[in-house]
Amino acid sequence: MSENIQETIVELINQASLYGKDTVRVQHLRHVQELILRKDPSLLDNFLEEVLGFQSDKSPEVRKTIISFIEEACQHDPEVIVKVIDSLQLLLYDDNILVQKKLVVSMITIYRLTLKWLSKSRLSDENVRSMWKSMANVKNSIITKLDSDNDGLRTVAIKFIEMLALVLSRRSQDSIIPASNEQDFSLNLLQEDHRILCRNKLEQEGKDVMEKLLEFTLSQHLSSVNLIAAMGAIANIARQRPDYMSRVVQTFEALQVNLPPTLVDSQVSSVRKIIKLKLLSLLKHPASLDFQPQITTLLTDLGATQAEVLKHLPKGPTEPKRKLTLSNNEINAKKSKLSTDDVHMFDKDDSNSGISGKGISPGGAHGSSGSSTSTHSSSSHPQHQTAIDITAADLVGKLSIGNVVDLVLVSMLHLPEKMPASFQSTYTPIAAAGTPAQIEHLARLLGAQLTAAGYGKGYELMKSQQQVKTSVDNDMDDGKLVSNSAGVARDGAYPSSSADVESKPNVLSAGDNESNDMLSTTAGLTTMSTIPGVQQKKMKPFKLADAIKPIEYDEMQRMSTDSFYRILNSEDVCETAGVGHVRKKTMTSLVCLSERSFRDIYEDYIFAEVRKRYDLAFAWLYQEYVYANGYLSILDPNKRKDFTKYDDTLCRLLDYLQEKPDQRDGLFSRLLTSAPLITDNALLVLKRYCQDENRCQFGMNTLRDLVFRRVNMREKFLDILLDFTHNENNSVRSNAIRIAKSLYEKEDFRQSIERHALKFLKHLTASQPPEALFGEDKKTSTIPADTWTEESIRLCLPLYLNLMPLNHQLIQPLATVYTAVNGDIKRVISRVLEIPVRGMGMNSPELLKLVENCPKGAETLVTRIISILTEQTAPSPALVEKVRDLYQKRVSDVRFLIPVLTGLEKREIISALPKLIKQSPPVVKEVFNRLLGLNASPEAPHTSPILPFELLVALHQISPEECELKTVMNATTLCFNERTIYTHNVLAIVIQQLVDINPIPVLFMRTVLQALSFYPKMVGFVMNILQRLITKQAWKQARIWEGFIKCCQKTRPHSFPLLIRLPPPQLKHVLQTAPELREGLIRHIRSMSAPQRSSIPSSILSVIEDNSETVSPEIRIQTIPTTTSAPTEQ
Amino acid sequence: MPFRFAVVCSSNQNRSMEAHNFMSKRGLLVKSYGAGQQVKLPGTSLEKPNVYTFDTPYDFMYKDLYNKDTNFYTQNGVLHMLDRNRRIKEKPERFQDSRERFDVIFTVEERIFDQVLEDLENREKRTNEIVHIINIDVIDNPEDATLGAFILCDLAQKLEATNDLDNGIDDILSEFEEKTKRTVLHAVSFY
Repeated sequence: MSENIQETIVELINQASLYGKDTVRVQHLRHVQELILRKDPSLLDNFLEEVLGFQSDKSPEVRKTIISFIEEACQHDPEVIVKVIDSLQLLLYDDNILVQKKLVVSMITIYRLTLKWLSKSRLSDENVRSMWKSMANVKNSIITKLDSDNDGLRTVAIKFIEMLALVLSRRSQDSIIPASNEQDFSLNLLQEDHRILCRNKLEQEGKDVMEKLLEFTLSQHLSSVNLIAAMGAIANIARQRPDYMSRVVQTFEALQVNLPPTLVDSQVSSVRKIIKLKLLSLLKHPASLDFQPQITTLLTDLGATQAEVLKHLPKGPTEPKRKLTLSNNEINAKKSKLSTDDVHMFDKDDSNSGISGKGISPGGAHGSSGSSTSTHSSSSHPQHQTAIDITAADLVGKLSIGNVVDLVLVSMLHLPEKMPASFQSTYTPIAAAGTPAQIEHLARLLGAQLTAAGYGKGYELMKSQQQVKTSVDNDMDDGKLVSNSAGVARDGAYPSSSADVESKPNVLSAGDNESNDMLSTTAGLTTMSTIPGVQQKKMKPFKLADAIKPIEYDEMQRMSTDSFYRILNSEDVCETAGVGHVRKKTMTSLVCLSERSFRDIYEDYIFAEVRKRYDLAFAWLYQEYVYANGYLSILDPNKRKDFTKYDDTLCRLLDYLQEKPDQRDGLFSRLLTSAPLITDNALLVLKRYCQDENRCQFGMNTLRDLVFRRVNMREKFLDILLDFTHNENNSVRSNAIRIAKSLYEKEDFRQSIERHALKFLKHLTASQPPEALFGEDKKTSTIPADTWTEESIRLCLPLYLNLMPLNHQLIQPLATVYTAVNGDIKRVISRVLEIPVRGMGMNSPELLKLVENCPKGAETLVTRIISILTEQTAPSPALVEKVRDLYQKRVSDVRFLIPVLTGLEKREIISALPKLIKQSPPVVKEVFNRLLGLNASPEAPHTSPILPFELLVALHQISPEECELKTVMNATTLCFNERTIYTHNVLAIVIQQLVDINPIPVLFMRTVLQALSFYPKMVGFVMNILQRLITKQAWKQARIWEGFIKCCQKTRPHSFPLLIRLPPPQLKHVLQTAPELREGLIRHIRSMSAPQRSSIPSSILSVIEDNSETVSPEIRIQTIPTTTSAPTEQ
Repeated sequence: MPFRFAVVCSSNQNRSMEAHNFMSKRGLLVKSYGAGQQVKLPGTSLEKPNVYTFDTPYDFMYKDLYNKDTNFYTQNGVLHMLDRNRRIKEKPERFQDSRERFDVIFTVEERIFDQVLEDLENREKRTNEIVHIINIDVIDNPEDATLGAFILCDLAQKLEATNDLDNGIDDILSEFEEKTKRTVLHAVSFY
């Protein structure tokens, strides 16, 4: 038989591992499960491994089946858990959510079984321990699934936690355990000295998860399914663990008025239905007896009928013992009964409880051994509930019509656009509005809300009590003392209850020191809370607070101010007594601790004689700093550092010092440099100070000091300083630059200053001026922010330009930026360059490097730099070398050469001349100025490589191909106009040289004529020249010949002897061209003596006399420009 | 795995059986129940309904009524209904007496929803398997029962189509409410 089964199982497992339909494979596995676990469990060991192999099957259905298998196997033999725990851990992290869910569900059973098995087992080997550790991991991981994104996963996690809360707590007598759970584990079954399981720890854990669950139930944005599951869980727990009853009822109470706002109408109805169902089931529970009124009220609100409620009330009278052990709850119940019943009921109830309290309180306080456990655990929980009670009681008195109207009006502001579903279904018109019962109910509802939000008298009371109690609890053992503390807790919880007041002596008589302490605590608390309805039947203990009358606030204020004044005015006395430092300390401490008033007084006092008392200000500031840092022991050590007061003090002191008319004492600067901390606001004050035109010098010096002394904020101060170097205000700017330059010499700051300057330089490449130019306090700037103006361009540059002479390398980035900016900016840069470039000098290697490597587009910049350099001094050979190099290799623009002209060789100048004179007139003028040394400063004697006459000769030698005649003429005219240089001597040399050139330059005769018109006495010299021309047969050059004739015309009668020496054809031509000469010539001949006349060849004479000759064809009249500037002297 | 559906009405005659019929024809795994104390069928007057116990076969009821007043019960459609029912299963089943487990239980009126919930709450719990209980009101007459069956089937098919019912059901139901303008009550319980 067994053999058969085994074979079948092998067959089934084989089939299941084959590829096939998932459903079929699942069926096979189910079959295996049945065969092993139901037919022959002894086979489990044989096949466990094989079956577990399917845990990593690709089909989720198969994996789920494996989980069921494991669950059933564990049920069958809990020891299997040790073998399967790894599989469980693995499956918990399965990708498939359904598998995860299945695992969690199975874990509910498995965890419970594990606990049960472990509690009985004596095994404690390593395997078991490690299994339990893994189990704890799995458990924790499941608890975290409460925050999962998956609704279903959260739901099963809730069920798991329900199980945890149940197994990790103790059953009590009134637990109602469903038959199916009868065998379940609970902490009662655990031995205290178990080797693996620690009972106390588990119990605490159980409480923790329960708290978590309750909290979860009340959290907003819960889905309806989760909420329903959670409500089911807590109701189950309450039934099985009535110790939690009060907390659970409480939770339902809070829940009913606080349903998650995310629920839609129908979900709200479903949820309310479930609440009703759960409450009815709780109502049946005997342990809920004390909460009946609350539950009934809730049920009525939920629409349950009286009959329904009655049907669910537990049958049979309740035994007095129970009533006693939970008497705190009972009172609670009484109190809330007020909300539904008539107020007059109070007396009746009160007397009842009074009787029961009186009758058995000694026994009750200690409790029977059976109920002590339940009392113990309930003692740690009722705070939440009682907090609501206290707050509610506190509120009842305050719910006057006026207050309620105010509340309604205020809450009107928060009304949502749409009526929330929960409200719509909850709301029923209030029938008994304004009756005491309704007010009580309302107070209770508000109390629940306030407590949930952590406000209200009850909440605070409970919180402080909780702290006291925990410390007491720690000192206590179990048993008797526990019930005592429960009694005390009850006292604290209901200080106003008359029943309680009556039972107090009993507790006292039974109590020991600890409970006495507790009582005094609670008594103190009672005085703090004035709860309406306190019945002061009893003797009142002495309370200091009652015996003394508080001083009026104003009076208090006046007295303290007066004493402060007295301290202030005792300066002399203290000094003579040698306790000045004590006074100082006292005052600063007082000022620091006080509100505004002392500070104002103190400030006035200090500033009345600031030079004498500034040390007080400093001491005060330090004191504030100490406070702000929390260094003082009298302050709460947990206080967060708060520098606002320090900041305020510092700023006020600075403000004052800043406004002082006399700044020479440097107190402002001293305060800043010695303050323990510079706040942002103090920086603002400093900035303001620096921007004040009259104080900026002090301000900048202060900044410099700060940069040096406050190393940790160095960057910040430096930034501020550097920002000022772009300030619109000239004085601010120059002061800032002055400091920046001085700092620049220190290696430490070099980089950051340079970086800053460069940053601003680079701003120029942006499309509009940078924000930084219009800093936060420059709102009123006159500079347009959207476009570059000369002003804004200039503001970006000063720091940089000032640094350039200090670091010549900076010229390089400037050139780079220059290439990138537009024409306007280029122009401005060129203009502002003069001073820095001068500062650098022409021997600067960096400048030379720039000239050498002139970036494309920066030619104009380089030209400008060179021209600045050479404006007043002759260019250095090195510079000339670089420029020449650049000119020859890369930039063929001749303008480039102009600045260094005087450094060039004559040959080079002459070859460049044609290009130079083609430039615009101002440039040409500049060229000549340089060449002729017209601008040269007196101290640097002009040394031009080319002499004036050489220049003029060179001009004449420019061929028409190279340059238009007119241009050359203009150039020569420029020369002529320099009469101080081109004297008649110089011109004579020029003309002398020109006439020797062959062929004679075209402009030669023009130059002669010009010279003649400037210097008429040169006529003799000119005659000699004309004589030379005749010998050189000048008529062969049309232009010269034409000029010759013109010259003859101009110089008659001096020219007549010359004319006579012309060959006849030429003379004839002359006479034809200028007929007016003929008459003069005839007259000249006639005036000659006979021998002279006879020497004249007859051919000449005949030409003179004959005026009918035609002009020889080779002589053409060409118009020759005669735009000589009219000589003014003549 | 296909979901296991249940439809619960009062007497397991009209509304649940109509839906049972309709849904099983659409290939869904479905069972039907009544949640009342007895099986009640309309009688010749309002005061005199025909009352049977739950273990009475449909066939018996059919014959009983046939003999009582063939004409009347043919007219009001009861015989037709019983005839259909006896082809589906032998006799009505009471939900409270069944121990079968489902994934989704449909109820057709709020009272039945409450009864089902209460019953599930009071059962012995062992497995912690989740069950969704969904109520959609269906009026107890043949026409509305047909319409109701259609709607239930439609919803069931939508639910069947999800991978993860627990996570998707909220969205499906609110969409369904939006579309059909019917109020849906939805709760969960655990086996």
